[in-house]
Amino acid sequence: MKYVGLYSDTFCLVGRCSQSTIGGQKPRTASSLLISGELVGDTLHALIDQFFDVLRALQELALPCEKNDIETVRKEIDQITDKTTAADVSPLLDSFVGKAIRKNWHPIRGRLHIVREIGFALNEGSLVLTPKEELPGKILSVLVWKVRARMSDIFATASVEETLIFRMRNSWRGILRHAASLEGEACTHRIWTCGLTDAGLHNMFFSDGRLWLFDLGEPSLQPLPAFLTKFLMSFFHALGMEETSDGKSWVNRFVESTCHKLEITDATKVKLSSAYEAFDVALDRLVVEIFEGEEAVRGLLVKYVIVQLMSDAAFCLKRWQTKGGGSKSYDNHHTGLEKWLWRAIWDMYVATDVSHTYSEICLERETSERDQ
Amino acid sequence: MTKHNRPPGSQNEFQTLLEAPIDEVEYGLWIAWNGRTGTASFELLPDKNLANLHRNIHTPACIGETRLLKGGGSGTTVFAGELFSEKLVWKHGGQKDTGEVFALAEIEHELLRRSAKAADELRSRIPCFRGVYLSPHHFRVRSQELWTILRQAILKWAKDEADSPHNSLHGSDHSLNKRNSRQISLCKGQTRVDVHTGSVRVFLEDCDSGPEQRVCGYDTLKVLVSCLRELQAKHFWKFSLAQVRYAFFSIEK
Repeated sequence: MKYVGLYSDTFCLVGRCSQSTIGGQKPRTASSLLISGELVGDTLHALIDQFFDVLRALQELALPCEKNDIETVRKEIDQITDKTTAADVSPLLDSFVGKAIRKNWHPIRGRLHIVREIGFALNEGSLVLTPKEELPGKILSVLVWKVRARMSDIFATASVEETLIFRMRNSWRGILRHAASLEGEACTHRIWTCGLTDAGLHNMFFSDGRLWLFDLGEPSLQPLPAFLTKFLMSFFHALGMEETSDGKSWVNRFVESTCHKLEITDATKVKLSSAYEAFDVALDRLVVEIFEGEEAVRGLLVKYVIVQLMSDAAFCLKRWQTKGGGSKSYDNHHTGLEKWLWRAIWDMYVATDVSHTYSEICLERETSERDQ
Repeated sequence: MTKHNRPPGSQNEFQTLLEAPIDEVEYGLWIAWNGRTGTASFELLPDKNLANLHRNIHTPACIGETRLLKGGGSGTTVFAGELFSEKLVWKHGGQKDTGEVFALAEIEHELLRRSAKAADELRSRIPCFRGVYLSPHHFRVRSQELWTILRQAILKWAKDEADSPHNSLHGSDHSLNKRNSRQISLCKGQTRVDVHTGSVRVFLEDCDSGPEQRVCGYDTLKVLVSCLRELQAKHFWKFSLAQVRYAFFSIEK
């Protein structure tokens, strides 16, 4: 092959340095460290130190002309009325909150709307479910479709709050106002993302005290709080993606209790507790070291986490359908699709749990906004 | 592979390949990106099915050391495979994945015009784009449309290229400009694909003068990938997408 020589010339630099693989000699994802209970103490702080180096570089990488558009954003927000829908939100406003509005609340294409449609189909029994999909399908039909359903209707130890999807119906307006009300440049100025908008723990290698990032997307401009959505939500989201020992599925976080409701497994209780501890450390350090102590950003970050967890639940349901879930199998070579349903349930469960845990932080801001 | 001896420029040059049964078209197109030189090159390589990883995955036959990689929650199949002595991470992905993997090239390009110190900080932590492999089998039952549709995609790119006063094809300027034409030639054995501004010639022939390969720059590749993504979205096609497992900028340190 005559071209091999040409390619060898091109790639010889890389070939000579084959030991320097991304992630070090034994790369591990940060999410695997979290799941195994190792993302604590010095390891956790070292990872955060490395991630903050990345954040500061991203702040520096934005060109001066790209950084500040906050006044235009505020003017546009002032023009939003009760009749404004998510579909009317401009690209500028949408990108100011990490493109979360149209993606989730668009009245036709939004993920939350699609979840409701799937919930409706599950509820009326128009989808074809395998025996293993029947239980999660039944749970989801209540979670996302049944009006005034409460978490305690489904989960043995959950609160009596209404399921989150109904409480989130119009919350995009509050999120926008919260984001625009912040004052510090670290909160309002945009960074150049370097394609790292999906930079959660599951997309990071951490080894020998060094952080590497993978699974990048297209670069864009976003304020830092919005950019941090995936990083922060991944502390909880990662638990839904723990692989089973055979690597073919994800660990189911739930078991049926004696009262025929779901409860999280004992192992999950331990892991979730660790996730909260690590999340709190990351959140505290972000507020102090990156956002220069602007406490109001804390509630916004939590809101982003909740929205993204619900959004990922919707993603899982869409993925389930795309792979043939809910349809007759025909020649479908995919099996074990029920894992997508369980992962969606986990995302919704933990989103509600986070919302409940940090309700004071989120409510505090909303109350002060109303007072103003 | 069926031997065809039509001369270049033959009226039936497209028809020649379109008539070839899929089992006989066992070469795929490897579009490789070199971030250090900022150039893309094109090559036809023998095709291989990696059915042990996934029944629809195809790569160049010279790939080695393949294995499935764990992780990732999106459901996209990700695997490792060594090509030309380079360890690569591959995705068997659709148009969204193509966009995401190609974004690495865009990032590499963008970093050049931003803060040098901060750019180095990022370069040392991220992978880089290596290429896209298009197998005839990626085009599934529509394989016979492959070259027709690819031709249209390249034509669009060629037209955009011609319309842009800033773009030029690396290494092919003077001799081609004399003919008021730019050209990429893809050669492998008896297969040859010629792309000219305003026209594309696809035919099988003996390459008497030996293989010739030309390369293009980032802007050109970007348009081509954009066209490929449109096709993927339209036909639900998946390609083999490669990124380097090395942050070679950091290796040089």
